[in-house]
Amino acid sequence: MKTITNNSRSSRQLAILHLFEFDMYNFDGTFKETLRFTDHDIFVDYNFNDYTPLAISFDRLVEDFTMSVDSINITIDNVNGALSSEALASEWRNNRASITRVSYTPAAETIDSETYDYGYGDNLAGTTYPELDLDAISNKDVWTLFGGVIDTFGASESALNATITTEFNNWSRPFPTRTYNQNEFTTIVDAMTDIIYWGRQE
Amino acid sequence: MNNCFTTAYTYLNLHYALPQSWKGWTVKDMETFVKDEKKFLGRKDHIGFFRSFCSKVKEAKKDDIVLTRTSVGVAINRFTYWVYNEDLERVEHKMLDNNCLIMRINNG
Repeated sequence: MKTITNNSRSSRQLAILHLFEFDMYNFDGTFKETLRFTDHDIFVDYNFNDYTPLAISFDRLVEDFTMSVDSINITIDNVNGALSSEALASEWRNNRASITRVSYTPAAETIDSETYDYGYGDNLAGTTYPELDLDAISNKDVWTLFGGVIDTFGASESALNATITTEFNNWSRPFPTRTYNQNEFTTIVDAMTDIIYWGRQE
Repeated sequence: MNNCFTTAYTYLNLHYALPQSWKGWTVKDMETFVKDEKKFLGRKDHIGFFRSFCSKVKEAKKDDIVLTRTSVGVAINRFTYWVYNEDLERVEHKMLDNNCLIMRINNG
């Protein structure tokens, strides 16, 4: 569970958005680009990168301590021709994907001489279209919600679907399912650095 | 008084050398243009104007011109473009679709 710091919690108004990144490769294996999307309703500028607003959603994330591979489904609705072309002309599978959650306190905003404590957050500085400049907001928390690789991918006329899996699925050898007794290791560091081979100490 | 054409033209004119006149119309006629917008768009003059110094492209990139039957916008990236919404009196972004004609300024 992520504890939201006082960066954004000190103020009562809290806004949350998500940033999605997908590394795209050509079919010959060469890197093509990183696609950046957000589920916010306007563009988001963060770390000098533009995140394009899309109707993108993902399953509820569950965190636990089971030795299983976690995965979630992502759906991008209302895709257009450009996105479909990109989807079909690039390799999605087995490439890096991440979901970043941002909670922030919207800055005050004056609209028609009326000042609101918490504004919409868009600005036109540097751009003509509305864009949220996250870099300029100091009251925010940013953390990676999910990082992994794209496992499966599918496209229909109106939506793209992908399953993102944690990188544990890249492990080639079977993961031991046994639990370990604390007495097997003298210290926690030993436990962390010990080599596990087929479920027993080598 | 703005509309989608004047907003897009004003923005592009800051960054590129756009023609100041076309078929007897000059930039000084902006107000007239806004007033006669439906006639202008109905005759597809907006397409003819941009076609006079742009080339049609299949994939959009930043600052390409995005034309529909009833609007003039500017591409943000190859997925989206912005256009001035006269009803809301503000710029909004939209997804590019099959109804969009994408033009790129020659040598732009």
